[in-house]
Amino acid sequence: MLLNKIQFKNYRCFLDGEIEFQSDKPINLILGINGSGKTELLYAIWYVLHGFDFHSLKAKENDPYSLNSQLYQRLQSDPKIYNESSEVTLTFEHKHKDKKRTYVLTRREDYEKNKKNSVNEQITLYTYNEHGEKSPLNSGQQKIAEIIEQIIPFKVLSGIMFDGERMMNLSSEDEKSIKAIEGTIEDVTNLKLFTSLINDLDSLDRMYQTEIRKIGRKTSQEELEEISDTILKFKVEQTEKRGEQQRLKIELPKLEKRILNLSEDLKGFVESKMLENERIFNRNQLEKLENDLEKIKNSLQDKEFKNISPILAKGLLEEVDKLIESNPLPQGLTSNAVASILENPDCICGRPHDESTRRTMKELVRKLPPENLNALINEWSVDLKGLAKSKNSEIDEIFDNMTAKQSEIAELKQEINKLSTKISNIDNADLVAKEHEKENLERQYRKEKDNLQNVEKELSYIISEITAWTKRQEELTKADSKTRLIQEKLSFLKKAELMVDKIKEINMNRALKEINEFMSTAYADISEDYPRGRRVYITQYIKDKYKLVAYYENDLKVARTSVELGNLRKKYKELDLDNPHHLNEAYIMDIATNNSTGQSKIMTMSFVKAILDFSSQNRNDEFSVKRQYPLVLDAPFSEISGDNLIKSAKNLYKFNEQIILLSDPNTYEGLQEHMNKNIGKVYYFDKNDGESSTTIRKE
Amino acid sequence: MINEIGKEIGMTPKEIKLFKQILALINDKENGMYESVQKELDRLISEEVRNASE
Repeated sequence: MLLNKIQFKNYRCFLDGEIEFQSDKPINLILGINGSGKTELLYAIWYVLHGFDFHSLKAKENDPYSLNSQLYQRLQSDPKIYNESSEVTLTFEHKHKDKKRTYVLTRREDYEKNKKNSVNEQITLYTYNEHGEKSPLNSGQQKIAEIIEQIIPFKVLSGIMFDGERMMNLSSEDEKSIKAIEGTIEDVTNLKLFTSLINDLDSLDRMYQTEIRKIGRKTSQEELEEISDTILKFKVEQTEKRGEQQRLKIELPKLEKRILNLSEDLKGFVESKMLENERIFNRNQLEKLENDLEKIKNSLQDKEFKNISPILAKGLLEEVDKLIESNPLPQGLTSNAVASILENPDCICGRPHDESTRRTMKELVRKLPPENLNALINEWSVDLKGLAKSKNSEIDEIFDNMTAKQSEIAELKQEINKLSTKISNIDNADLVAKEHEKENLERQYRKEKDNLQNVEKELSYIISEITAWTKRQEELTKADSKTRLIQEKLSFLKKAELMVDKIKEINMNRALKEINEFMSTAYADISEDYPRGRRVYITQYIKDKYKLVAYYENDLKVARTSVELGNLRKKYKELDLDNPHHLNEAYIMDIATNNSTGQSKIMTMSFVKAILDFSSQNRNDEFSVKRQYPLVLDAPFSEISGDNLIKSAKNLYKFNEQIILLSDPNTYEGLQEHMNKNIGKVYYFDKNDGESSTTIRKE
Repeated sequence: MINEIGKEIGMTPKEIKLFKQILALINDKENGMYESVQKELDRLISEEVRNASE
């Protein structure tokens, strides 16, 4: 990543303005007196990329906000102003494999009246490809932060952006310095790439394991064999049953045909049987009719005994009627009635009875029946006539019924005789034999038909079993092949992870070795102590790795001959002193020297150069990433003197493809002749009197 | 170096080639192609394993 431009809007001391960075010459120079805002530029770049806590500058700043302090005060005090915002935009290029992308990254903060801190902070990112085509706006603060972290990690900032303090302290043993070296080395040695690769491989591993779990079994070889045996067993059964089915399918129609033939033959027998049945039926009917007739006769006899008298008395009654008609008697004239008249002396007409009347009446009393006989006889006669009439009709009915039954009986007898004649004309013996055979065949047919049904049921079961097992076999075979493939993938992943670990270790060791070599070269270029045998080294094997230390070569030679290994082993327990690299580091640590401020700054610059040289070198490693960073150095030359100053100024252009050098004009004036030809654009920071702002002025 | 390490840990030449492809992919990811590479990794590995098994 190389910077193209930085633009300000209401931002801290810069208010509005912009700085363009030239890429054809390595050094971009910014000159300004102390307090003009040189370090603010460094913070501004940091701020846009990864945010910056201005409160950490509170000791130096009255207004720890991104908004320009005057605007901030005015927002709080001016009743007409309700909100303000500040904005910094960084345009930078990122190259990879001859592809260039331009990123435009803006960080904006909004402020409101009576709100101490900003109410909204937002980053926006636009990207442009090498043809200048703008990609869609990358939205999502988290996503943008991730992209920035990939392009220029937060940890790297401490290794490429140095204010005076950091320049001095990088070689100190404080945590911040160690982290800065560590972060920078991790970045340029692609540690993130390997971490990312391991994460991706881990994710894939988990994904494949999940797939295997879904498939449900690791190996199914044994089960497959069992299933094959089962299928085979069923197939044998299927063949047997199919044979049986086939036999039955042939046998059954044969039986059916024989039964049909017999049935044809037995048709006469059937007819005979039918006739016989009919005759039996008729005989039964006849018997019933005869019984009925007998009952009727019996019933008639009963009636004859009990009710025949009126019928038999018919003639007598007719004689009685004649007599009554010839000897009429007044109704009610009885002996009692006459005697009653005689008891009365007078006639009903009022005259007394004469004697003759008396005698007649007495004669009548003697002759007349006590009751009126004619009336009685007549009454009896009528009753008997009615009874006779009723019985006559009943008897007529019985006789009719008897006649009908007798007629039916005669007919049935005739019919039975006919049937008997027909039956006697059929050859029953042969038919019975056939009938017997037919019955046997029918039994056999039913049995075989049942067998066929059972065989077909069994076959159906066998087929369904074979289908199910075959399906399972297919699934398992499929799953098994899937599992095998996944296991092969997993096997590869394991190897790949092992490979990454190895490469990471080798790469880091090699990188640190190379960085140490680059640093030694850089130190040789810029340090006046180098000819005196002073060397610099980054530790990599001891527990607190990545310390930037200095030592003298002579001391190292002496140590190698005089320092006892036993003492070193006690002191550096984590080191493997049988390993020459570890042993060398133990000696260096043992003889490390203290540094003056100037020496520390030179060491820092050497480290920075080594890092930048290492990261920007072209290598043919498949896993290496060429990285470009701007180097921002704020007042690197202060407190450096003598040859160190001249050498570092002379060789600064070699440090990096892009260097943003912040210096006070006086220091630069003394070094101008050593740097002039490598200076590109020059900007001045002019602090405005009485105002908390700086004017950016292009030379 | 990758070839040597690959052989040392028992990778086949095809696996080494695949590993190099993966590295290139990750390298691209680190250099601005920010989309998830898991899918692409899976594709590469699956393809290679499938080819090897055929």
